[in-house]
Amino acid sequence: MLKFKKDKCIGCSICEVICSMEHEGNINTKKARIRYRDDWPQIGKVYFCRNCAAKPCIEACKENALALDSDKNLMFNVDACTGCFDCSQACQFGELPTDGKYPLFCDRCDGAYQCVNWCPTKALTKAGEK
Amino acid sequence: MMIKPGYSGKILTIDLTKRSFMVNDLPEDLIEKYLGAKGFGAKILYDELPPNCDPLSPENIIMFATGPLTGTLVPASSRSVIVTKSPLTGIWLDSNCGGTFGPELKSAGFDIVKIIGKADKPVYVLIKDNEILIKESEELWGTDALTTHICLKKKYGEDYKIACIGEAGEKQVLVASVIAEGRAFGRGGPGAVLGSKNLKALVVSGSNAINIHNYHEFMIANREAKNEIAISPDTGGSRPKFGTSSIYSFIREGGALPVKNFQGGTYPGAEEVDEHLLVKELYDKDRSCFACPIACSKHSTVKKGKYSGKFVEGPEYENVWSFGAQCGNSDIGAVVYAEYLCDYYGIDSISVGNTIGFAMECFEKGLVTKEQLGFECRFGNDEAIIKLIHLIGKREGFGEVFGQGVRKASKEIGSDSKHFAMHVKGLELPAYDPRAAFGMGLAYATSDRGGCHLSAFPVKTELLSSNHRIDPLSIEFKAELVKNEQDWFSVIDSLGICLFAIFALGPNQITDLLYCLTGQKSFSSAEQLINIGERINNLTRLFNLREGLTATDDTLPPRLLKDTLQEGPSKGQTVPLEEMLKEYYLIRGWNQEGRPTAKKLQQLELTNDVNG
Repeated sequence: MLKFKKDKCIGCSICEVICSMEHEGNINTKKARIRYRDDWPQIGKVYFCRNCAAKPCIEACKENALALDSDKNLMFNVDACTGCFDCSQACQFGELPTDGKYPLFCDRCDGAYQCVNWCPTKALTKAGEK
Repeated sequence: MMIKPGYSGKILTIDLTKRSFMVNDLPEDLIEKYLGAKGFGAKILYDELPPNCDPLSPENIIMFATGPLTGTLVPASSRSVIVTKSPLTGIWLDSNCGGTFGPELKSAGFDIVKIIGKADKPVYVLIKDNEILIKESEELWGTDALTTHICLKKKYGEDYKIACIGEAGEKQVLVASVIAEGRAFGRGGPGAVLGSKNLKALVVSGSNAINIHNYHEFMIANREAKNEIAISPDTGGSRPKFGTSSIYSFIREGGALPVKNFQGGTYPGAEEVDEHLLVKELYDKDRSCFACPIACSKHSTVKKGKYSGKFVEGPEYENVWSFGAQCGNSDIGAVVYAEYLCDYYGIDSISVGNTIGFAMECFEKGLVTKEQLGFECRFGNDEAIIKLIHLIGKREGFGEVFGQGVRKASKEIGSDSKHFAMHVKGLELPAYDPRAAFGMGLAYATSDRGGCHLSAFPVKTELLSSNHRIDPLSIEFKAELVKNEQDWFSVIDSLGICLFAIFALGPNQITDLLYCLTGQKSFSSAEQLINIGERINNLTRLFNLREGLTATDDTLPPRLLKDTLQEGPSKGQTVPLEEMLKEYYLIRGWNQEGRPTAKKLQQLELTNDVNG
């Protein structure tokens, strides 16, 4: 699970860039599964699916596009998704990032955690790490 | 057509008179010969702008352009540039800005947005990927730059990035800037050009991808660059901690901090102001531009004194000087408020601060009176600074005179005020006294946009480097240093990365990043890039010559050439400009009139571009 410390964030969006590179093979922050939303003159916040324990989104999804895999991680079937964003509404941590049509869920880069590797201030960390 | 990796591949041309727009492909040979942002602007402005047009007429062209590295993973790749003919100087202008606007413009799918004509009523331009709308903005006209951001974001959402003008731009104050997401295209009056076109703002959002030529190599090059930035004493140490003011005490100890409009001397409280004070009393939080791990920008609030509670993103080194030492003011709270007001009205904080220092000297010399101004305006009077900013921003009272910059103001004020109007080619000088660092004098005198510290920054080698340092009070190597820096800085401004990145990254490293991203054969060595930089500088020079500039304009204010400072490391010095300039022309391959020779143009493959 990914953790975000707002007081360390400098608003550089490097997490968005590296996320889109990792998942899309090119640079497109609007397809990133982690999103920095600015709040000038304050530092903004980073939004992403935390793969939280409660997962109210699964309950909220009427199309059964969301489910748990054998490790109790979130699984998303985009083919079943209609883009209603009920999942995003149900999310306890704020909005989910979207690509304009469908929600985007953090998959932790299958354990590579690229945003954590590249965050220059360690505002993003793996849960359990300092 | 396959879009070249690193580029968006499109040019958007908006004609405000006809309220129409056109999208063209980005020509391959433009990329090859001119690289990006500043280079693109140089070529297009030279080709398309009618010679000697009025900068505030519908004829003038204003371009927002990004470079191949803008909006990528490359450290500090946040920059975009405005290119136009400056209303302040009447010559070439490129004004560079960080933040998030440039990357957003690029992801909207355009490398260049070119604006011509004049709208009959106030408008703003909305760009959402390929959808371009020209919208009425009468209800926004008259709104300050910061509120304009809030209004437009409320309307369209946080995903939209905005560049807009404030009241000063609307009223065509010649020092007006364009404010973009809390940062500024500051210098040379681009805000007045937008104002003259009745264009309040650009509102941009995009979702296009930037392709990468060699993903794996690009990642490796970036990882190395990231490490270099982190271990550099500048970009990984002092700059993140102290912000741009990290050089303040070094510049002052070197005798290069201009005091009271370059008169020298001291003022009450001068010793207390330095970067440590800013950290202790002002900075709340670090903030960075897009993709920048340095985070030299700060959020500051004034904690005590009569400006208590005032906020600014900054204050930058230049403003700690321009509203501080330049005006004989040591109240750092006033500096914060002054910089905030500059963003609010949308005016250039360097030019305005410089001009206020000039106004104060005029006042003390009796050239401007209390009756004319309506208030006392001596050095050290912080309230006068604030009052003058309001007047300049609103173009009211004597602000009408000072809002045109010191060159025009000194003409109106007359007497010997020309002697201490601190500008080159009409652009007000920034915070480095070239009498303590001669190279900086040559850099000011030969910069393509006038008195500017960002076309070359020799003071770094003269006063700020711990190794490779050269004697600041000698003319040796200065011409070469300035020429080389100008060429390389033009490359950086064309790539779309921040100059601060090159304090840690060398030419080979930056070439590596660019080549892995674009795969363009002609970008495969630093030498080739520097050649492009030289080509750009020669083209902007030719542009300026066509606008009527001559070698006699490559000079400094009389004060720097004739008056000496009375104390400090540079005591008794004036800038020996003439000798440096001669050598500079020679190294540049320019004749004595400062004109590129036919041989030089041929060598730079410019002959056809200039005559054709």
